[in-house]
Amino acid sequence: MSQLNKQFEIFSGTGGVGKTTLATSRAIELARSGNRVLLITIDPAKRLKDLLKLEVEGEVIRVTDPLSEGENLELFVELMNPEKTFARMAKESNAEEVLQNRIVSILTRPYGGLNEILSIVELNMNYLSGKYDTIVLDTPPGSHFLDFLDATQRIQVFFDKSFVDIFNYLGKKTDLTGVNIGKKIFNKVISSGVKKLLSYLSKVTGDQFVDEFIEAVLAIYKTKSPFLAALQLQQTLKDDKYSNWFLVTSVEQNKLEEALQLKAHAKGLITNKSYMVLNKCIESELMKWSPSADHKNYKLKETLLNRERHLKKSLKDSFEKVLEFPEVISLSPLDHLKGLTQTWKNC
Amino acid sequence: MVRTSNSYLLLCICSKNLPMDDLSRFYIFTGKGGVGKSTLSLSFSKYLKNQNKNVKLVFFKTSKLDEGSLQYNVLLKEANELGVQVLDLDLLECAQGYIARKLNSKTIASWIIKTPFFKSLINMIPGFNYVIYLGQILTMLEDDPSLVLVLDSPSSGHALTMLQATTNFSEIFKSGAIFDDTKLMLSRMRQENFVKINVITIPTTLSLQEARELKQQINQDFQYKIDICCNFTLKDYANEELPEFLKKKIANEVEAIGQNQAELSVTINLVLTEDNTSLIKELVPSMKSLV
Repeated sequence: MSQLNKQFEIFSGTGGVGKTTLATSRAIELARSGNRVLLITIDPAKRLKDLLKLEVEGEVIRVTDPLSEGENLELFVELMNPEKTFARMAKESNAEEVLQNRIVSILTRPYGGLNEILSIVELNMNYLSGKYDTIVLDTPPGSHFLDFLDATQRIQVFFDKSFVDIFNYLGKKTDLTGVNIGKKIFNKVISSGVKKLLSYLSKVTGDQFVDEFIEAVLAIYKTKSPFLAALQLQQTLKDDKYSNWFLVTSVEQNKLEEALQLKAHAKGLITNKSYMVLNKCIESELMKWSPSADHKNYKLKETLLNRERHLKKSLKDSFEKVLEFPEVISLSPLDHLKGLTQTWKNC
Repeated sequence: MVRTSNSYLLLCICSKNLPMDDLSRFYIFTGKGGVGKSTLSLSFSKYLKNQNKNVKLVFFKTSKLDEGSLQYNVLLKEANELGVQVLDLDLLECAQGYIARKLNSKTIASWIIKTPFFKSLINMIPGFNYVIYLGQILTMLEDDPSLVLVLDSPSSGHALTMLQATTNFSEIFKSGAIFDDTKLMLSRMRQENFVKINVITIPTTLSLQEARELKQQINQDFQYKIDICCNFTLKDYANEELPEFLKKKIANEVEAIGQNQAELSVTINLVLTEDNTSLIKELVPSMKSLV
């Protein structure tokens, strides 16, 4: 491939467009050309499982070349699991007791809400291990992708100045062991209005929750180092010296608007320099077909053809680099991988 | 003769009314991005409107980014042209309204939602927004018994986050107003003929499989009424004169649909038009199957 691979290769897109298969085929192609590659997927549907026969979540697994049985590649895959990532963070921070916190354990469930934040942490931990030439990341589809981008922002909000000040203060005054000590100081440190606020809030959320929430905040704060370290990563991801972004969409779904919307939101990450990947192209096949103008097939051909051409034109207006992948017409996921890997090679 | 024709007439009225008696109050359209959720939820709302139902299409602003987005504006414009009412819910307004009701004070509520503590609560517990939205939706449905709401939900992950949020929240909050209300929300959501979920997918093996996985995940907590609907099918365009690649594409589609037949409730043909408004209008008659 003419485009050199970078430390990070990030696949984002509108969902249901073959993004996971494209990311996987890219990882295979890079590994086949001699790179040590890690593929991380945070797609909740975990389609990689089917393609790579993976069963374990939350751990890096070495896999053999799925396209050529038994071939040894330096290819590693991880299925993201937020609970395991958080458990690892807690262990590294010598704070395994935080896993006992009821609210923390609810929040780190797969759909508990910390998915994206923990994915950034996971990505960063693997990056810092220095084991891989390239990490290929398959991000969650659609709005989830935006959440992914917002994640570093959210880490920042969570550990924002007022919070950090409070916790720095707490860190000096206590070893963060007692919940009650925590709450007492918490009450004292935030503005004087906090007592009133908490009393109002407890009417809505219940007394126990206010206590436990403060405890959960303290618990998560104990694992702050990996969170804060992940913040550094955003700069690296933005730098096109280190990162290739592939924005994937497909002809089938005509998601031009959504793709452009993603681009508009992902300011600084997805730019004209990012690759626009258009999957499932059938134009060249359609061109070989000429149904007569009075046949019902004529309208079918024209509709399919115009749809694809219109999409391509609009994409080329917005992106410098558009990669077209022909549709692989097969029921076998393996055929899809083979076809896409071949196109990467020819790119 | 008269009796026969009368009972025949009665039968006609019954069969016409029957599906509408089965009408649910709250329709959730979910599935991966790009499977046609927005288009179908619009067409579906239009279908109900044509039946003289008091219907509104709900759109969550999941982040401030959605506001002013192209997709959002296109949706509003289409809805407007079709005469479908759109309800866009604002998170902080909903939250403020809720707290104001609970504490009997708008002033205190407006003060609470401005505090960093409350903002961090929303940030840290992302499912929080869904509980607030859902609370608002359920309140509206209770206030107006004729109202039917159609939700164009952002993506499959989100729909699941939303449905599980109510369960998670009764676990998170062990007492207080939210605890009582999430329990109430759960029991309302689980009333008969209240929630109907349409999982939208496309005719490929992987997509159909994912739709089935999503249905299973949703059903883990409670057996909601769920239909899987396969959009953009080409099978009805099959004929001898198609080129080989299209024949093969359609054959694969038919096989994928066949493998999932037991779980698949509805298929909807690809509509041969490039204009959005006429696309939505063409889909309206087939929307009966999604009730």
